[in-house]
This record gives sequence, structure tokens and C-alpha cells, in this order.
Amino acid sequence: MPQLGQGILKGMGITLRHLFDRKVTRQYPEYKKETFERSRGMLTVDMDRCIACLQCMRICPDHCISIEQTKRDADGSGKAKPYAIGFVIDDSRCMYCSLCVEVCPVNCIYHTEEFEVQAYNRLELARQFGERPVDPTIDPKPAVKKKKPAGKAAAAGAGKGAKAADGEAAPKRTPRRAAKKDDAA
Amino acid sequence: MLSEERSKDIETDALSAPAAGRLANPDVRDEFGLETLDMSMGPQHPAMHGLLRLILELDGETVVRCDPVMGYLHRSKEKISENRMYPAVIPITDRIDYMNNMAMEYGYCLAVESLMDVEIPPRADAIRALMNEFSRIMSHIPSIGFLLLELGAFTPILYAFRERERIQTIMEAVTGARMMFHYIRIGGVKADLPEGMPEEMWKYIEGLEERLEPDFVDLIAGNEIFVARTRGVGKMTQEKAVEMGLTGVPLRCTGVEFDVRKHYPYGWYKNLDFDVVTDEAGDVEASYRCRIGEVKQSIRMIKQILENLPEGEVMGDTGRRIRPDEGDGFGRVESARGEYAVHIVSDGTDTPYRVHYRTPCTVNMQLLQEIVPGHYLPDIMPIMGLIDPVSGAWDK
Repeated sequence: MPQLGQGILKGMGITLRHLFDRKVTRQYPEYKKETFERSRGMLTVDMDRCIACLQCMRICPDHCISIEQTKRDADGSGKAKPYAIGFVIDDSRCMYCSLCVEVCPVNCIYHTEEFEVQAYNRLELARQFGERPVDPTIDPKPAVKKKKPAGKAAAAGAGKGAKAADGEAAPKRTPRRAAKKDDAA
Repeated sequence: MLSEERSKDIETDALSAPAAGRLANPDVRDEFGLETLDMSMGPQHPAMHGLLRLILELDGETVVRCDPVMGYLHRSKEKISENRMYPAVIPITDRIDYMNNMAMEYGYCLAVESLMDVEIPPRADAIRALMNEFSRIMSHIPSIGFLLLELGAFTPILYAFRERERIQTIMEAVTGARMMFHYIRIGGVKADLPEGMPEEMWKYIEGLEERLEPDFVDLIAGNEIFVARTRGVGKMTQEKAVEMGLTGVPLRCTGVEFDVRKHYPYGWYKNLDFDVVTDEAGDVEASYRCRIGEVKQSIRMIKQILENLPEGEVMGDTGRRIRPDEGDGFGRVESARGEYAVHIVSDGTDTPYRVHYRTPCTVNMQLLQEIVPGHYLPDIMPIMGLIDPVSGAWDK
């Protein structure tokens, strides 16, 4: 049995040693944290490159991107192409998941190093990028769950793999692994 | 454990059970006409791990009854998951257990992949395991700090957050975010490790190995106050732990050797050499020792992975749209708090038909009802440290 108080003294020795260590904190507003190439800060859009394909709007899990689309001959080629006349990113909803950045075919939406944002009300957090402001409160994608009709789903399932050879529709709720074993046998 | 009468009361109606009549010492009540005191601890309580309400019945300072009430942080993760496309669910899973996010992503991706015909490249598997172990260290070390903070010691939490901050910097360089990584994807990982990152990780891990012994073992383990507050507190038997379906550290600290990584290996864990850390005592002190041991094992695993990091791609071919086959998908991983499992029912569309997250915290929480009665009121906090629950994980 060690003498009572020995553990506490040992601990105090350790904390005393740390007194002479280099500081690990930094004084935040004056000294900011370094950012990395992959750091996901606030989103921004380069409207000159945007082709109004709406993929970012569709993939966004939080419905924070709204785009108003028109047709316009922007590059003078004589053909009217889709053009994003209004583009809003609502930062009060964005969760910086980076899905829109990954899906963009022309890399016109990207993360900046900016991560500090403040406002007095939520509408101020919606940043407009287009010529015409878009109302950020209107949900761009109303939650309608698209389901394949049962007959079509079965047909698609049967047409896809080796199951079609048996002339049977895929049984409902059978794990893929189990189905594969059956095929092999 | 509990008297027959007590068990019956819990069965009938735990919340509306009358307060009076269950004193620890009924003779005293008869003599002085004393009654027990009903008290609500939480949901807003500085030492409560998030939002948990405990309905306590006290006899003096002894707890007679403890009923945890969950649901104050319910965000309907399972329902939201049904309305999102498969890849868009991953950021949601990040927010379930916000201390150990990487394991949450991993479990979901394993479940979706079990429904798909996709081959995970070996490098992606290795990076997944690597980041998972970093995430585990990032969760275990602060939870030791929290345990000590609740006992009144302020220094360990500072050292713990120093380590967490350093790992978060590594994580940000690799994944792009400090906590909500969104890094593990269906079919692989988002991107390869940046240039020079393995060397940096190696440097950090060697430093942590040096610092772990003085800062988290010598400082804490021998401290008389810590020993007095934790030894024998929250003691439970192996049988009880198995009966309650506990997983993770609360189970292993009683001596039961169960670890999903070892017994149902997934991904790169098949190639790793590590031990399952167990302890015999089954009390709060044992859980602390288990966590330290697991951090050491994680360090060992990270070193092994970094030594033989395979080359190649980091993303398997999943096709442009992720649309798994019809059927049931299942994935289980060992998160920092225990066994985390995801069950997905797919109907062949873009969105899951049903997703269920089996989080370890929800199951481990029943321990409170079983082992807290008989302890003093201040002992609840160390017992919470034993379970180490996360509010986001028990409510989902």
C-alpha cells in the first residue's frame, strides 16, 4: 500500500512539468487556425461558369440551394441555353457536406476558406448570386417520394441480372448475397 | 439486485410510481414518519452528457430508484433517412454519435454495400480502418477527461482536448471537416490521403504514445481521490452485463471478451493484430483502464496500417446512381461505445425503404436503472462516465 497522498503529489509533478511546455492554445480572433486545401468552408458560386444544370439543387440534402432557370443566349452562339438568372444559397440550412461541389460538372460551386458567419435574422444568411433575387424560404424540392410502381420495379429487377434467365421476378426482400448463392447452385 | 417489489413497480409504471414507501431503511420511516424524495436530474444539467432526464427517488443521499427518460434530442434520423438518396444519408449518420462519427459512417456504408455488388479496393479498406481508429482515440481520450471533470478534476480534460484538437487537425487535412467528416462513401472513401500525411500521422502517434503514460495514466490512475470515487462504484457482474445486452467498454470491463472487430471482422481488421482489452473488476475504475488499453491498441493498429498501406484506388465502381438491389442490408461495426449496427430495407429505388440504427448508447443506458439504486447521488456521474453515452446516439 503506497503512502496516502503519493498519487496526488505525483500528479502535481506532472502538471508542474506541463507549466514549462509550449502553449497549445491560440488567441482566436487575432490568430486564426490554419486551413487546408480540403477544408470545407462557406460555399460560393462562379456564375460565369454555371450552366444551370440544377444538379447541385437536386442533390442537396438540406434543400439549401434554389435556382431560377431561364433560357438565354449568354455566349452569343445564337442558341438559347439554360441560364441561372437567380441563385441563392441559404447558409442557415447548409451543413457543408460537399455533395453539391462533388456533383457539379463545371466546378463552378466550391468551398471557400471562410467559416465565420453572423447575422441578425435568418434571411440575411441567404446569399444571392444571380441577377434576380430568389426567395430562399420557398422549398426548391417539395418532399415527394417517388416510388417505382410495383410491376415496373419487378420487371426492372428481372431484366437486370441473371435472374431473368429463370424467368422469375426477383423475390421481395431477399438479401443479394443469398440470391447470388442460389444463382451459383 | 433489485427486490421483487421494486422490479414489479418498474414493470407496472416506472414514471408514475408513487414516491413514498420505499425507504432504504423502512424501520426508520416507521419511527419518524419519513418519506422518500422524488427529484428530477436534468434534462438540462451541466454534468449530464447531453440531454438526459433522470427521475430519482432519494432516501437521504441514497438513490432508491433511477429512471432515465430519453428523447429530448430526438431528431428522427431514421425517418429522414427514408426520404434521402443513399449517398445523402451519410452526412446524417455523422450526426448520430457526434463523438465518434467515423464509425457511424462506416456502419451505414457497410450496410449499403452488403446490398450492392461492389468491390472495395484494399487501400480504401485500410484508410477506413485507419481513420476509424483515429476517431476512436478522439472519442476515448475526451471521455476519460469528462469522467474526471465530473469528479472535480479539471486538468485531464485540458490534456484530453489538446490531444483531440491535434487529431482534429489531422482529420481536417484528410477529410475537410473537424467533426462531421463525410469521408467514408459507399464503395470506398472520398479521397486519398494528402501528400505527406502518413508521415505526419506517424509522428503524431509516436508523440501520443509518449504522452499517454504520464498525462493519462500516472496523473489519474494512482490518484487517491480518483480511486476513492471510482473503485467499486457501479460494480456489476458478468452475467448481469450479458443479460442486459451491453456492448463495448461497459461489457468488456466486466471481463467478457467481445469485440466486433475481433469476432466479426470487417474490412481491414481481418489483417490486423490486436488484443481485446478486458478487465475483471466491472466498476468505473475498470472502465477507465479499459479505455486506456483500447487507446493503446488503437495506436498499435494505426502503426500496423501505416507500415503496410496498400497502393491503388480508393473508390470502387458503384456506377453513377447508387441504387441497391431489393432486400435487407446489414452492417455492424465496433464504435467507441459498443456495437453499432445498421439495418436497411431496400425496395430497389434511390431512397431506402427503412433504415434502423442500433446505437450502443440506447442499450447501455438501461444500466442506469439497474445499478444506480443503492449508490449515493454523487456516484451517478462516475457511472455515467462508465457508460459514456452520447446524447445524439441514444436519441437518434
